[in-house]
Amino acid sequence: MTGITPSQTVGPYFKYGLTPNGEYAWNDAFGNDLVTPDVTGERIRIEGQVFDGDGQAVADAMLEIWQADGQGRFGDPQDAAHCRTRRFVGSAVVAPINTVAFRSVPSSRDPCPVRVASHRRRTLSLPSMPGA
Amino acid sequence: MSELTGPVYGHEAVRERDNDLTVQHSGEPIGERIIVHGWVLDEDGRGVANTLVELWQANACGRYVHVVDRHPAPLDLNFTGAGRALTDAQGHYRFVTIKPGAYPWGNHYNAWRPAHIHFSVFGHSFLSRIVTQMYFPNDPLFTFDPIFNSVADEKARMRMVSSFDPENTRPDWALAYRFDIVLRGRNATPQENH
Repeated sequence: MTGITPSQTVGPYFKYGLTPNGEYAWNDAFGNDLVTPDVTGERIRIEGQVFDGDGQAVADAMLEIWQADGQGRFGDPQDAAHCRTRRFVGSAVVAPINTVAFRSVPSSRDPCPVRVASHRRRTLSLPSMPGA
Repeated sequence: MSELTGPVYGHEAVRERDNDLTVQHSGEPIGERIIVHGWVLDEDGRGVANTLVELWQANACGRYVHVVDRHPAPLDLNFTGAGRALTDAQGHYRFVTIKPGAYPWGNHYNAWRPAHIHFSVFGHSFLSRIVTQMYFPNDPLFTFDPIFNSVADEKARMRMVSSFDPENTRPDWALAYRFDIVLRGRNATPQENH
């Protein structure tokens, strides 16, 4: 048996490493467009804002999502298929103030956002402490 | 199925030399060259194969390339400080980089972060996804750092500290540090269960 490695704050400086978006000398492994040419289904755009506990918009929150494709299949090798997980940083440059957007295809049978208990929705990392 | 599946990112996203932070620019970065390697494991100690490991860090002077970092220490034109690797079939990953410097961060009087490297690892399930920091052994700043000490349990806290690894040191070239990352979850074959 081995103990789990603890998590630590992502800190304020993750952008150049995880979501450089052309602003640093590094490439993105992910983007915000999950639609590949071979997928079927209705194209949708998901957008919203991220707020901190004081109701202030967070300009550089990184969101990560994953979902099944239009046939309800996951891209994971444990399922079969097309859909890929992407990540995106909300930015005033890309969209109006602190808006984040994903373009995606709705799944026919994926209820994951409601099935995952709130304490297990580990899909949002925030710079919880300044300067970390 | 949605809880058992994980991110798929296309292996083209990881290029051959993305795990060597000393060869990303025209010249070599300043600082102490180090090898950082280890295994990504599940809770039962089994290697997690073919999973994405990303890291980012300050340069040898303790300065991040991020535009928000205003620490008055020099940037290194030959060092971005970002890397990416996939684990092999046994769950092993390896980076070559520069030992990051400590830096002040203004949290309290004379606050300095111990030298650290940020890690982001996915694992095979989205629930195993972790963002953490790797530290270096015997750092005198451990006692004073509230982020390191935010992990209250000492045993757990020490799992974030890499170990000096003389066996994997490359003579006349670079010292090595080993950092194993244990993810939440047991990497059992998932059952189809919608």
